[in-house]
Amino acid sequence: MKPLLILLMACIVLHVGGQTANDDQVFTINTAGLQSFHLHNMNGPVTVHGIEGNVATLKVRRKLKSFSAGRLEEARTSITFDSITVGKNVYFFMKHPDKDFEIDENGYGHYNSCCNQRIDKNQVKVKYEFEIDVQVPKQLALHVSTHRKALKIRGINGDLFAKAHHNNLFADDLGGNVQLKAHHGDIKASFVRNPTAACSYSTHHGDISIEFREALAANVFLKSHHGDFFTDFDWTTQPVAVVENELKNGTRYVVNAKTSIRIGGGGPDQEFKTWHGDIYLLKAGQ
Amino acid sequence: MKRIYITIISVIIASAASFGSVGQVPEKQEFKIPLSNPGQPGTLKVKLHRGSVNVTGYTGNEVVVSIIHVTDEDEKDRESRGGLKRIPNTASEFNITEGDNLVRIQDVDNKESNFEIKVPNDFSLSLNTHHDGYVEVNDVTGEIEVHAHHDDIILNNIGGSVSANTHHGEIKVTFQSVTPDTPMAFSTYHGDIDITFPSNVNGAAKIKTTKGEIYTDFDIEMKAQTAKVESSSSKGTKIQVGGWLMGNIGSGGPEYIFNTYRGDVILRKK
Repeated sequence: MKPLLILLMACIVLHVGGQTANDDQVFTINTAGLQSFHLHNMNGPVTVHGIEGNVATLKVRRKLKSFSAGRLEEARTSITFDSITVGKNVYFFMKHPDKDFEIDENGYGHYNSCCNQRIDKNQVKVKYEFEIDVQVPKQLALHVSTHRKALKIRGINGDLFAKAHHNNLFADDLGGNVQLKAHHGDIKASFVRNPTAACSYSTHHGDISIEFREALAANVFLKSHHGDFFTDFDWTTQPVAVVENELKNGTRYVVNAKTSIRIGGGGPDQEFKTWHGDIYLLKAGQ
Repeated sequence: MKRIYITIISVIIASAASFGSVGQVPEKQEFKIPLSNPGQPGTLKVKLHRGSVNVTGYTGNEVVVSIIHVTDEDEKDRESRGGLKRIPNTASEFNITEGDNLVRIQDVDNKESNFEIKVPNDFSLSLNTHHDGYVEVNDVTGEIEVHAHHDDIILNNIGGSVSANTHHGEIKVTFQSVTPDTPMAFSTYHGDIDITFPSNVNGAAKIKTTKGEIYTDFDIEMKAQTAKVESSSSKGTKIQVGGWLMGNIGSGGPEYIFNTYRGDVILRKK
């Protein structure tokens, strides 16, 4: 009985553990002449550091895991990280047989989830994760996203679009205009220079906390269904926005749900939206 | 359809002291909705999830909508956090439409807001709220239909006809005049029904109160409803016995139904 029990335990351990294959890859690119740098991860944390100079470096650690040695070996060549340059824009992205990476007419990259028909549900799955650490010239416009795991950014002075769907988004020492998005996580960011154009910050299940410089001048729009808004800036309220649309048989007035305030005499629009969280507008260093 | 050119007049009528001052949010916001056919009768339909509706008739030709932010009871406890000032989250989302003198107001986000609305005196109303809100109407003549599930319905100086329904509130209506030959209904569960009619009103009253009493200064000879067969099936025959009292007000006429479970029914002569 005892040998049978040991054999059974061994099988369970093997089954729970599966097999793994980890490796590292480094990409280096001279960004002189480029307008924007795009990085799209699907599963794994991304850390971005803004640096001086023109050379961007990506360190990519790939982690594959499967209960099938054959599938694992297959994944070494089918689940990879790649790049493409289109015009003055460079895109780094994950390649996966079940996901298409596409670049739209506006130059934004995204994964197309149209490919479920390719998935053989009886096939043993391969779990994958890409841990990415990027050093990118700080003046370059940056477009970065990951679907699972956290996204951390520091020291970017160019315009920034950042999205972390299932986790937190942290962005510090920013100097450009930004669009920061999450869904299941918090957004926390700080500026070394206040935005000069419209910015947006949105999540669904988390708080939003943004630290601006003290001389902030902005028109601020706030929306939270279940949360509160807090600030240490002085502010004045603005009239509620009413959008008027002509209908076939009349007129529709949409009374907007955003709380509208003005800070420092007003300036570029700063739009904040969450559903379940609070929103904080903070003065740097307070 | 006639194309309507309307300019929204958005007026913030919070006190000058609060609007524009640092750290204040207006508690009341007013919108003037011009009508397609000024001077003609119209209809206002309001559908809210949470909040009260107070409608007043006036001699103007616009519908004037005031949205009042409702402060939560615990809101003051959240005035500040860690040395930060709280910006009141006052915004609620509403759709207001106007076409052919039909004005519709509907909340979008289910947040609690109270409405004060001015309509031309000759205007029909359909007012519906569910939570945290009563309905009050003053000085309006038209077809008036009201649902206020959790609170009272108070209608003063009303002309026309009324259908009023609540569950947890009372119904109090004072008629200036009634539309002849038009049935009316007043129904609640936990409250009184208190209706004041013009002294010359004619109607066929149908009254039921399970736990309450009936009071009136009209001369009404009440009769119990005769038992009648409600339905017949293979399981047997269902017969309704009593419950309703019937009687004519004046010379009789359209059916006026008054139905409550725990309250009294009071029919007054104006």
